[in-house]
Amino acid sequence: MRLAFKIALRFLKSGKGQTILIVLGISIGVAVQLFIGSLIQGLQINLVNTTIGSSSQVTITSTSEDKLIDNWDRTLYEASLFSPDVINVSVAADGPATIDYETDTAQVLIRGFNIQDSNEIYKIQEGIYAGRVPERKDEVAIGRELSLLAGIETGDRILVLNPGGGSARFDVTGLYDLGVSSINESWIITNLQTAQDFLGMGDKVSSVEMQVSEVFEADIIGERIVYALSDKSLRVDNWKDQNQSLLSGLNGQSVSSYMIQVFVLVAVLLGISSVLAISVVQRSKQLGILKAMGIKDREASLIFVFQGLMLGILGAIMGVAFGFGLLYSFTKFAVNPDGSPVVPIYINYGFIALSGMFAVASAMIASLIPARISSRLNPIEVIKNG
Amino acid sequence: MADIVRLEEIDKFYGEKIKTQVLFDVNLTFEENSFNSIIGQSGSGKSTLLNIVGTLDKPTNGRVYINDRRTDTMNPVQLADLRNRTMGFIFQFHYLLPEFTAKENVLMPSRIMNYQVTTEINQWADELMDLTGLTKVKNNMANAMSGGQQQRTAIARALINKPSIVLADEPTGNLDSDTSENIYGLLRDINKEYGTTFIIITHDQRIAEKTDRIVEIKDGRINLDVKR
Repeated sequence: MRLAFKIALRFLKSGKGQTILIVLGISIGVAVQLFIGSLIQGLQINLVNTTIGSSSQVTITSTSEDKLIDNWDRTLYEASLFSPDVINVSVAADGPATIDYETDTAQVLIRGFNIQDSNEIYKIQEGIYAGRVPERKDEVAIGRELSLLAGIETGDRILVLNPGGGSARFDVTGLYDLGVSSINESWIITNLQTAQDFLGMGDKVSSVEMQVSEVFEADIIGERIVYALSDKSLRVDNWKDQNQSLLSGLNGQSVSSYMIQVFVLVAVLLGISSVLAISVVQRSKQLGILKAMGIKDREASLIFVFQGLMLGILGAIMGVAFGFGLLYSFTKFAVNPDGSPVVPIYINYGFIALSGMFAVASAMIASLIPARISSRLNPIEVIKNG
Repeated sequence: MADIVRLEEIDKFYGEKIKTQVLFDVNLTFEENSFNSIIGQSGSGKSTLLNIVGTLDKPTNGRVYINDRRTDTMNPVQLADLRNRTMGFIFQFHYLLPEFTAKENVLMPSRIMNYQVTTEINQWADELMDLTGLTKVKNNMANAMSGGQQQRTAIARALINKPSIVLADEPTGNLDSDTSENIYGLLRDINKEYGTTFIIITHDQRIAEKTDRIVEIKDGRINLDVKR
């Protein structure tokens, strides 16, 4: 075993050019795998953040006749029992309304929140670009699109009509931009009490919203919440069920990322295997004489397994370094006008370790073919051919 | 004296579809401590015979005994072990490992037997290299030596495990006549000093005449067997 290792090391050292080429081949494979993997993971996390990161991921609504949750304090408490899986629990009192501005009317959605709690989900505070968040009763914030459409500024009073025919006037204290134009166009954000009074809900709310720490487990967490709720008329929805197309897009992206990685792996595997196989042919004289001198077939095969192992380890280390270099230059050169990277890179050390280990394992697997050839090599063939 | 090598009714065929018979019913023995030569034209089957003795090749029919142990029925692991412990090979080409130094090459069969090189083995390697006149070049890489030095390294390598038999296939085929003379002198000295049995293929008549026994192979049969 030690002799095989020593011989393997010497073979690698003496064929420096070839060794460097193979190590380079493996490391580029690892680097590409690491780069593509990190890029796609970053893209996915970024996509999840922008699409569902600022919205309710698990939502509790009522199936009762008025569609309202009566004892919402209890529901809120029951949902928060699932911390830390469940984060940012908040209630909302929602209802449709019509806003009547100088020249026209527009359909809007009144959303009454406990602003402090909902801010964690919707990042309202961050979205306010003029004025401040509504704090007192009859104060509201409206979105950028609606403000442009209706010509509303902070400090204006707006007239809003509810479906029951009632109307109210609210003070606009802030203008927000939550990054989604359909929200900016339709949501009128206010505090809970204003919405409840305007919509005639009494002390009820229309939904309990929450986010979860593992977004892709929203459905599982949702199911667990169902069991914990004492009010059986409540129903629990999750973003995965409500956004099937987004989910399948994300899944498609993951699958294509795996495919790319598998093909890179196969290419690396074949590359190492063929170079090592050639090196068996190159070293067949040496192997022949070693066998004539009594080296056992197993030991002779081990020479190539050790070569594969050493090449794999070297290639993996260099590949990880290259990969980091690529990621670094990507974040430096592929940037938006404001200097932020086009795709924020997400470094997953587990993934990097796994990809390095894959390279080592594949180099070893690749060495099995030449190991087999060398084990079968008959010294007489070599000696006869001179 | 006892026979160290015994060949009984050896036939050897080559080829799968068209079979060519190379050896015909060969019966041959070699004594311990003897210095033998095998001569014959190229294609006569002498190398095949030597390879069968060396367990590198197997006879199609017949039995091969080394030290009274039958070898043609052994498995590859047993054969490898037998070759490593009891045989030394010297070929027309030196077949040194170019990745290693002269001394590392000499020590290789010993490392195959047991990776650790003891002080005695190390001293023995130095002694062999001294005997073969390689002391100055022992740390040279194998391909940084002259042809004669390389072949002498191969000889030292063949002797490191103190084999009871050394098989040499035209060991000086590539060397000039002066160097050849030297090398045969060396082999003879080793034979006398350590009692190693030598079986040497040569087509050099002068060298054959210096050996204790000449076996001539012709068309796969023993044509002549002269002991002196």
